[in-house]
Amino acid sequence: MRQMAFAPQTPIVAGVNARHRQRLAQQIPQGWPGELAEDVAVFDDSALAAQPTETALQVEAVRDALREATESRGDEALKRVSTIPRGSPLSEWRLFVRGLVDWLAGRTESAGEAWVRLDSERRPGRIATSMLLASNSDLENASPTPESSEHVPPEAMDGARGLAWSRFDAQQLYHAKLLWKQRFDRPALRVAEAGLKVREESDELLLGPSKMRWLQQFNKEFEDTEPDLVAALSQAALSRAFRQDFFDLFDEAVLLFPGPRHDRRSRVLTYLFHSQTSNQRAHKRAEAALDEYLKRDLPQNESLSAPLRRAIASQIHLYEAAALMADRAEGGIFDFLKPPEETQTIRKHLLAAVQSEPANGPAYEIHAQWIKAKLEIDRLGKAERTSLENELAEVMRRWSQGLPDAVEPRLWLVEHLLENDHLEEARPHVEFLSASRHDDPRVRAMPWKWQLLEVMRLCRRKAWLAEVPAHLDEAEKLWPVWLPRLWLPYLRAAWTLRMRQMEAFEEQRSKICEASGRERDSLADACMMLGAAQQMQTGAADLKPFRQAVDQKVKNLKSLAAEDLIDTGAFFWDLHRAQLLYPAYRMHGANIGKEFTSRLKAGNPVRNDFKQDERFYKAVLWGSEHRFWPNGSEFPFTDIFSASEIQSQPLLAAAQINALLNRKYEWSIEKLAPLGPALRAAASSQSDVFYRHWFVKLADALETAVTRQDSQKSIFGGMFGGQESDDDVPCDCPKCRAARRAQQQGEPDDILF
Amino acid sequence: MSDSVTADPFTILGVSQDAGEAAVRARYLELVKQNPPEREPEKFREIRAAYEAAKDPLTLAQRLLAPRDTEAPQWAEVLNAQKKNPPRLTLAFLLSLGNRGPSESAKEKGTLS
Repeated sequence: MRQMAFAPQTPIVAGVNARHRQRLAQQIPQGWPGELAEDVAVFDDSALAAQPTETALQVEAVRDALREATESRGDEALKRVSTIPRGSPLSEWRLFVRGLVDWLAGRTESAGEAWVRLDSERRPGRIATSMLLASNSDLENASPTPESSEHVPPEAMDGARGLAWSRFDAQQLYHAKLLWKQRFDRPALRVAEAGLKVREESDELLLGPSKMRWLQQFNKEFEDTEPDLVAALSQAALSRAFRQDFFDLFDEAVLLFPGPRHDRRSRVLTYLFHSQTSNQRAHKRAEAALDEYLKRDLPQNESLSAPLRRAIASQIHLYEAAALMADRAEGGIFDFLKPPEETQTIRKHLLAAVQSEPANGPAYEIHAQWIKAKLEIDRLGKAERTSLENELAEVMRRWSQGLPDAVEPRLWLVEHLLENDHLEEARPHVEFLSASRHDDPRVRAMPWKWQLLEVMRLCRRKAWLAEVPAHLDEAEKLWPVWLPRLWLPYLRAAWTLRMRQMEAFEEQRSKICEASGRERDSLADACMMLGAAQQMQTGAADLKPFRQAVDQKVKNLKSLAAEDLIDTGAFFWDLHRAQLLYPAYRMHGANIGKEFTSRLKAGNPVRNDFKQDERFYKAVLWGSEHRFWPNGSEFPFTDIFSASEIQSQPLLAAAQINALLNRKYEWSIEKLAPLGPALRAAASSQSDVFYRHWFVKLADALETAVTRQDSQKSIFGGMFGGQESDDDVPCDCPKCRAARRAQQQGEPDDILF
Repeated sequence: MSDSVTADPFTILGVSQDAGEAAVRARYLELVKQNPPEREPEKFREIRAAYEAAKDPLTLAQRLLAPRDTEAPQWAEVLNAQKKNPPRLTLAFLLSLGNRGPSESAKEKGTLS
């Protein structure tokens, strides 16, 4: 639209559309003396009631078909009338509906072909004639008198339209003109175009007071004849008022213009507008608006289906929780100045989200992630830890109930319940997972995991120890192909220790080192033994030497051989992907990880020497698990690997995505988006079934995170300009918008960094 | 997961982000008719997946709550979109076009100013 020089907004003359509106209001179907009763029944309920059942059913079908057709559901309309037999008096309507569907889709010729066979004396034929006439713009010269046929426009001379021109009467012409004005001429568009061209009072404004009042008049004048246009302009007005920082204008716009179908009073918009400021009064208004929406407007909004109403409420609560979490997730150096996290309110919203819609998977997922992040804090007291663990268990229980097909909560619950001796509660989850045909290899490995967890549980009591070897044998048989068996002999050794069979233990230890070529009490060996002993419930005294062996190595990490570090990292990755990490891992995992990372960063030959070694990539993948990195810092991929290295090696790409997804703050996650499709494409060529599944899952999670981030940014202000000061409101003139687009397009295309 | 699922279902179906359930279904049926499974199996699968996603209440809720544009809507664009969207014919108006009422001078001449 061309911008004109500022001029006062010309008011719309009240009643400019009044005559057209009045004429349309008078258009009510009325039967004429002698009109076929079946035709009258199509619009007259009393005539319908007088029809025999079979005819009444056909009339109902015609009514439904006309409704479907006018609501742009052509196929449905045709289906409705397809049951009317050709011999029925209502078969004319069947033909009429066929032409109507075409006419509404702009296929006038096809419509005419269908309508040419209609009886011009019956209602369907008369309507068709008016509609065909209305398709011509040269109606002014048309006349129902015979001599005026000279004025037939050339394009209407042939076919059905020519037939229409040859047989219309005065009333049909009147109807044609009315229809033409309503559907083709549309004076409202011209009025809108002229009125909206006028500039606002100030360049700062996207919607000023004059235009607002002008639009109000426009809406009043045209809302009956152009409801969709009025709705679209109202939405645009609200949207423009939202994007400027003037409280009074926004409030006025909300009062003047109806909101969208799901929020007629623009409560959600009001909430978003006022919640983006630091003004306490505005915050209260925001809360009140949201409260009104959730408690009154939404439950009473009959234009939305009940499932949609529940879903909207659920999403709003989830966004609320996510926004409160994001408030604390800035990660800046002034974090300590921020008020404490509103944990109770976050919990309240997360609970409300799943209560509103129990199938809202992301709500459980976000809640679980939030608790898991809290559980990573080392200084957590025992009571606090227990409370969080119980909360996590409750989330997982609700998750598995709300979404019975979800695997994640069941996998977690099996471990948690076995660890806490709730064998009976765990069993249904194990049975479900074992029976499900799921492509997640961890699900398929559930029978193996169950045996292993059972081994660990049986080791708790001396009386049960004798049962352990049988379960270990069973676990060995079921050992997943994607997981090395390195740890199994350590578990067997730990059992002999648990049985106090010291000679057997020593013998087993020697055998392990001999078979693996791993030096006894090397870092990897020490960690494997400590992990096995701890998981097999070895007492503190017996555990002490293993702890000391690990501690000794950790103290001298700098002098450790690179291979030992990589070997250990690969073992940790396997434990991690099997979700079997032992408790003491928390004490040394981070230190080992840091040393591994620093060797990589320092340009040490580590990378080149082990480039062909699978264990190297496993160690990198383990490094991508942020959880042992303190204070939310991360595995510094960008310092270590080049973009081309990451793109050419799917395991590195997976590690980078995993690192970013695990990170406490999802900054710039969208930059990794192009890696998703590449990883997805690489999945099918992986020989390791775990990676085949995991790559796709990671790519999905990346897409979800990017979408979630976009959505949260949009909803909570980043993209609305709500965080900008008055001085920073971007200019919305075409020139500035073009400049911004050019700037965006000119950004460096190194998408990874 | 195929691209058909990860791409925006509303874009694939070619309906507006705030399209109602009925409009989504109508468009789906139209697209299926244009791309029957025996002739366009890939396209059909894509449309089917998009429809499944678009009719999911949670997906619809996300779409309704998420603002679609990062910039203020331009009046000209709104009007252009509306030019392609003539007012819906009401049933009463449509059926009244077949009236053959008593003669009125204006209607007799077919005038409409």
